[in-house]
Amino acid sequence: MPKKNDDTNESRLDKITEAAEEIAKHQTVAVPPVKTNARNDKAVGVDIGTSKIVFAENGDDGMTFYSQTNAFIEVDYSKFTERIMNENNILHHKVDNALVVYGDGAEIFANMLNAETRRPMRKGLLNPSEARALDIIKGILDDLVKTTAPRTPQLCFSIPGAPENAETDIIYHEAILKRHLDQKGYCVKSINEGQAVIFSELENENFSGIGISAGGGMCNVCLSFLSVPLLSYSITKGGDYIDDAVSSVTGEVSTRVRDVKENELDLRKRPKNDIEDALHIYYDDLIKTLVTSLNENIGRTSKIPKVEQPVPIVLSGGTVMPPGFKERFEFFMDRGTFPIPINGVRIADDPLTATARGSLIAAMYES
Amino acid sequence: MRRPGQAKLPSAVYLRLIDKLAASVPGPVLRLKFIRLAIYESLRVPRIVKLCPPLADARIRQAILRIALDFIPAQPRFLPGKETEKTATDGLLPPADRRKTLFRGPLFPPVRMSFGIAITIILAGSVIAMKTAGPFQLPSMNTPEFLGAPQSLSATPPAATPASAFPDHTRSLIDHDILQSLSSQGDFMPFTGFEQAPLAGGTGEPPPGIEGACTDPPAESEPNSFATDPPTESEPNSLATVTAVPHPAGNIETPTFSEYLEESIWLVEKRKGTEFYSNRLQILTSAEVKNVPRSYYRFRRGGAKPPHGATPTRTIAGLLYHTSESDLFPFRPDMNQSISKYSKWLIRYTGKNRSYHYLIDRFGRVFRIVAEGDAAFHAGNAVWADRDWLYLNLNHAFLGICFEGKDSERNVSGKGGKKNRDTQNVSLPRASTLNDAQLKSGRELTDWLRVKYRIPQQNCVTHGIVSINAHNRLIGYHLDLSTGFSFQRFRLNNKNMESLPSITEFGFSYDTYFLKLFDGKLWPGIHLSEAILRKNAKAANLPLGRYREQLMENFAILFDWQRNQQKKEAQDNLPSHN
Repeated sequence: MPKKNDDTNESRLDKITEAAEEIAKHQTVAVPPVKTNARNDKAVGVDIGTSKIVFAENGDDGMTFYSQTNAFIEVDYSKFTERIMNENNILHHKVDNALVVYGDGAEIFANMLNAETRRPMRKGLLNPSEARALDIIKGILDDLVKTTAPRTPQLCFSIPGAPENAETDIIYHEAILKRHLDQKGYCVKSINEGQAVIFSELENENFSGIGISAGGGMCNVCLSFLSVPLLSYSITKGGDYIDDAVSSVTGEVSTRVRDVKENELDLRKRPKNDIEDALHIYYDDLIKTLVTSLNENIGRTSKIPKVEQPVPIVLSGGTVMPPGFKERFEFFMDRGTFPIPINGVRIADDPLTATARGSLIAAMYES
Repeated sequence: MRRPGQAKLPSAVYLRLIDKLAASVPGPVLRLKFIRLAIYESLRVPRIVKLCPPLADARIRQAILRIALDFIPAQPRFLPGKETEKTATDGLLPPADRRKTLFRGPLFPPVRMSFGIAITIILAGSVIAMKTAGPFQLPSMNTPEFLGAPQSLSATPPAATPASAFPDHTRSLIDHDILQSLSSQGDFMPFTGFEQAPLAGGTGEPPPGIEGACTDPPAESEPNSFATDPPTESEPNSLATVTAVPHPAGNIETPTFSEYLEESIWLVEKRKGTEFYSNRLQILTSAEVKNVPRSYYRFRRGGAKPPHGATPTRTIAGLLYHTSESDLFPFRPDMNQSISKYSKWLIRYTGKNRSYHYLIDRFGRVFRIVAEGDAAFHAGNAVWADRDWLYLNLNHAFLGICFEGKDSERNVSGKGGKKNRDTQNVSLPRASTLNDAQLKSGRELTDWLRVKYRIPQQNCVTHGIVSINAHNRLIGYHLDLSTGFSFQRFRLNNKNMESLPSITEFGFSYDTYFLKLFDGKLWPGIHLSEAILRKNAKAANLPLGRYREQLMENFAILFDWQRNQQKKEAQDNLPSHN
């Protein structure tokens, strides 16, 4: 690696130190406070999503959730940087002459260094163009999921519904993750993301309804009746699709677009600038695609039981977070022509943890 | 994409039934289990049965209902007039319009006719058999076989004692009149008798079979064993006017019963799964599990500064009575199956969690859950004391005896969940849920354990009395059997009349929530403890608040020390004790 001049090095080191301190502050909230090797003997649920990995466990005080951003960034190696990271419990690997920072720390480093994070997953599955994808996901899972006694507790992790023309990819994705979690001593099962949402949110409806998990990589849909999945599929449009598309048409970096999307966007109001305008357009596109696919796929389904009571649609995932998403969804969904009676659309109580919660319920059921 | 049609579902009629029943199953996991199991059972009908649609229909409905009964334990759901009962009946019997079409299945008419004739013959045979065998009777609940008792015992069926038959006089144990007289007269008078609240029938007598549950008669020989001083000027309404405390432990002497039980009880017979004792006690041991070996520290009273005086031991020091706080089916003969099933489930659950040493189910059967030589996790935060020792680790020091019953109703609502006492809506029961069979077995078990381990009566107490919250220093974290327990029937002095070591030794108190729970009528032992505390503060020449703080500091030292010691020992795999 070519030697850089001292000024650049110094300023980078400053930024790294600043980032590390910021992460340390942040981590007191986001990372499990006690990192022990204590063995876990309770059922756990894990939502392995394109943008976040969320871990759920059931304790004495109810369900507890921990999460890490499913992203990484490479920074130049120096002993000083490594020491700071070690001191602040920032997840990282040393690879050749670089430090690979992953988890929540990656996002903050990216902002500080004005760089882009990279994703070990793309469109809900392992990213084939990232050589280190598997190592990163394993690293994050190792941080969140503790090793336990062999094959005692149950673990359920979420997998997306197979996208059209990519059914084989999901087999590899599922098998690789299952193998890794198996090695941690759990009795592992996978659960469809959409169904996990149903388990989490539709208890009062006896797990009958449509669960949609709109995440970073894709939107997963599951139609279930009395907990039995009748239809599940996914569309390969999600939060990242919107970010990339808006970034492409406006010339803004994805980080900036994401910032606007997460903090300023309100789909009920008129757009204030180009970015918001583009976000409105692509959000509408995503919702339209979703509603159309629902109409088509449910319409094609012949063996749906004669449902007398209308069922709800529940939306979850980071992509449904902007205010107004539900209203736009209802706007595009014509209840009169929808193949099954619907009694309402609602957003999950906590869209970011609904899938993990559903996975945990599935794990408790399997226990 | 997973295409439709792969998942198999039963017909819409059964789906609707499952849907209706599932609404009564609490919690997402249980509900999911019920739905999945019901769907599975409704699809698992043998082909031969499917040939006869009415039989298949009845079988599926019965299977679904049976599963529902396993998953819907709550008592009120099956009370007459409730909507859910209607649902249950709907499940058992086909709806009216379907009854008309029972014999209109897809079978070829001659085959259908053959089935019809066969069923008619079977039914006729059954009717003749029933007539020759005499009238049908439900099995008695306390036949010797049922109770597992020797054949010589009476097999007379007991009178059913439904919960509604209990009068509302449990709370009469908290004699507010006496407390009022305390404050009005200025003298501290000990509790000498029980207020006999008028009973439902106006006779003043308790209904048969429940006298132990609710009405301890006054201890006649209970003396006014401590003197009283007139109130001082500075503390006009204070209870701190007690000048003499009769018992060095701070507890009132109630010498109704001797400290130790001097009787001879022995093991008569031991078979696989049962032990039978000379006092009629029968213990079912098939569910017994192991846990961590008993090993704890007890602290000498009035010793040097804590934690000096801590002594490691493995002695069984006392008995602690609990209720399971589980949901209860109505105690009626027609609910036998459900009651038994729920008890089995409770036994499995308590065994899995190592919750108690003994569980006494609603038919009075005694199950050993955790081996006596091991600890059970029945009273993590609790304080008790006898003449010589203070006990802070009752999981190890005391044997936990649990009666299947419900002593408080806890409804959590609002933010903060169970952590926030302000949002809880806890109500105490109007009458004890313990029945005569349970009390009889409890007494036999108590006698045997007291004889075997030479347990003083002073150390036989209920969970609600010893339970504390170690963090906010309040008593009554758990409320089971805090009042209304039939100590007299167990040949024990009434602990509701005695002072609480948590207050007298460690300065614990109670809050308005606790007061509200008992409608402001706390049991006399609490007031006595407060009085002792004030007196001791006076003797130490300290303001009450400061004195209480000092005691609490002592508690913190002991509590932390003990906890650290436990952790250390867990790591070192237990030290060698006497």
